[in-house]
Amino acid sequence: MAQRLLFVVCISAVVGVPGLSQAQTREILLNQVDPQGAMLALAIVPRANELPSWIRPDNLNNVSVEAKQPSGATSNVSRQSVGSSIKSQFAIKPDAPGSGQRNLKLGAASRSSVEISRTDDALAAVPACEASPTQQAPCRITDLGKAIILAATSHARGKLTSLTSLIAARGLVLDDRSTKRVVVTVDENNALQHVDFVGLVRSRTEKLDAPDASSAFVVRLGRAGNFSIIERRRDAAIDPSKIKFVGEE
Amino acid sequence: MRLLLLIQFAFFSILGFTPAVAQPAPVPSLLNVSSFMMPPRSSWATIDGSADASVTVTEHSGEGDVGFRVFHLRAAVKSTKQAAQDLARSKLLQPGDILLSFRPSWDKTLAYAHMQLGVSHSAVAFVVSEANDRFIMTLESPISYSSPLNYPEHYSDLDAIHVIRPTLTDSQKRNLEQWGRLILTKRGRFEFFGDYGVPMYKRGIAGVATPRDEIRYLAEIALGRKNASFKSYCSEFVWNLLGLRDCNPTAFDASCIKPIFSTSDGMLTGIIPKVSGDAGLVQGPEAALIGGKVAADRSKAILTGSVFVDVLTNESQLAGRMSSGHIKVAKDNRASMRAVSGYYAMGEPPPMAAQINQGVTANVSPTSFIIRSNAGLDGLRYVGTIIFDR
Repeated sequence: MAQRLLFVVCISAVVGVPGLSQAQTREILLNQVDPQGAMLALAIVPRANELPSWIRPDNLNNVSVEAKQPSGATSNVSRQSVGSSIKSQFAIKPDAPGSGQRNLKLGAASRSSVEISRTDDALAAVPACEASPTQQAPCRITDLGKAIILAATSHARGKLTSLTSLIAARGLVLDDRSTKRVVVTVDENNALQHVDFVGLVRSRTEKLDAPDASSAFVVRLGRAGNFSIIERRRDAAIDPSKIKFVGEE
Repeated sequence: MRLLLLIQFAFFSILGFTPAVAQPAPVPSLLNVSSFMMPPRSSWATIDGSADASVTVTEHSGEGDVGFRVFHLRAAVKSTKQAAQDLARSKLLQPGDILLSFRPSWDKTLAYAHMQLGVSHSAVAFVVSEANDRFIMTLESPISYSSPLNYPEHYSDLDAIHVIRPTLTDSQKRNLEQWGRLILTKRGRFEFFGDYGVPMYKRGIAGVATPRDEIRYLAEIALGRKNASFKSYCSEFVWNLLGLRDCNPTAFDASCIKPIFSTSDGMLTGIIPKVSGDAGLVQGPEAALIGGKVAADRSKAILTGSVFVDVLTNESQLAGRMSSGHIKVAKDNRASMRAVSGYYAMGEPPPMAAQINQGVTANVSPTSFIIRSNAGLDGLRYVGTIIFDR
């Protein structure tokens, strides 16, 4: 019976049924396809409301990401660690020939900062970011990374509720334990729909016992720059008294 | 082309026939990891293929005779009961199978993560039904994770799951199911223990002084004979449960206890030189390379140059690949990893292995199950790796 139903579905798909067609979305794990872009997104998002308004699509043609040397460090690649929290600096260098140099440091007062500056078109020679986890030299971020920066900039421009306020209002805290994942949802044209940041927050009462656990709460950044909190819930609960093991059937 | 495929699918649907043969294909990008993380083909279980079109099977090769057999599920079913239903219909999993949470993102990071072959967690799978709805149900520690693969705080962010199969008779499967039911009905008695470096038999629990005592302790708590909690980390729980496979709970006698690993105490030490007849906690990569028939000099180069080395140290980048807890454990074990690298660099001298083992407490990690499978030990077989990419 079920297989006959499948046949009907197949025929329907062939001939086309009005109303059945729906925009298809898919999820992309940015950590996997663009680790540098994910790193940058994770650094920017907590300070999205500080992003400069001059960041626009037309001057993000060549944006590079690099782990930047902090003051006092000796190597080319920065790395600072305070307790269990992770602090790093990044440079975003939008290529905007002839438009002059602008600089802005986000969170400059803290040990973690994001530096954004306009540079010249020499940046075009910087190689594109690859899916290599070990790439640490400057590289141009991917289109997905660019889309996330633009969404975050929209947040700043729109003076929307800040992530910090939203987290506080929901009674959540920042999570410094879980793996940080950036999951991007795009439509059939690869246009950004929203970005989910996993492992960024957790509830005060949530028990995350196992070392690879992550919170049910996820920070979502919409393409219009709005933040929201998503709670992931199990789609079905099981009553152990009602199940039969295969050997009991 | 699309029309042709749809008609073909419709034809198969009417006939009740499902194409099931594993297809060779390019390695899915998610599983494009170093070959030492792949199981040797000699360790693969024989399977019949998928019995349901919702799960397809492909096979992939790495360097040497290693690779993945991939069970492709739909992306939309990740962390939903539907995934457990699809897998049950596929008949690719059996009661008592061990599920290992595989983190491909651990590849090319820290030596300790490489040594663990990217495995962060373990569970036991059962096939169950509820009102004619058949699905896979896990039993694991934390006990709250026990679910039809839909516990959000674990399965939402789990991209790949290895399936390792112990050799079990029907009677052993039924015994495990009965223990599973007892544990599920006493969920409140099961707690997670977070320090993987201190096995239960080293925690000063009265009557639990050896690994075998742990298995008896589990039985006594499940049977309600002990008014205590069973506190275990994930692999400890799986190891103890499988140790009861010969025990019928309706007539429990401790003489039936049999650890799943055939070592002297049932748990693993650190290193067995050349993986001869045994395999230790650090030898997953070595066992994969040996099983994969990789030449000795090449194996040595991989072990000293790619496995037991920290490749990625930028903490911001690491934060996108593993939890701070795992990063801390990896850092805490840096000196040990250097010692193991030195052991391989010196040609695996037995006295050095003995010296390293002196600092190792016999234990069982989630990786242990695939280490033993890689080494062809204890009847453990690699079945496949579940991903959600369709």
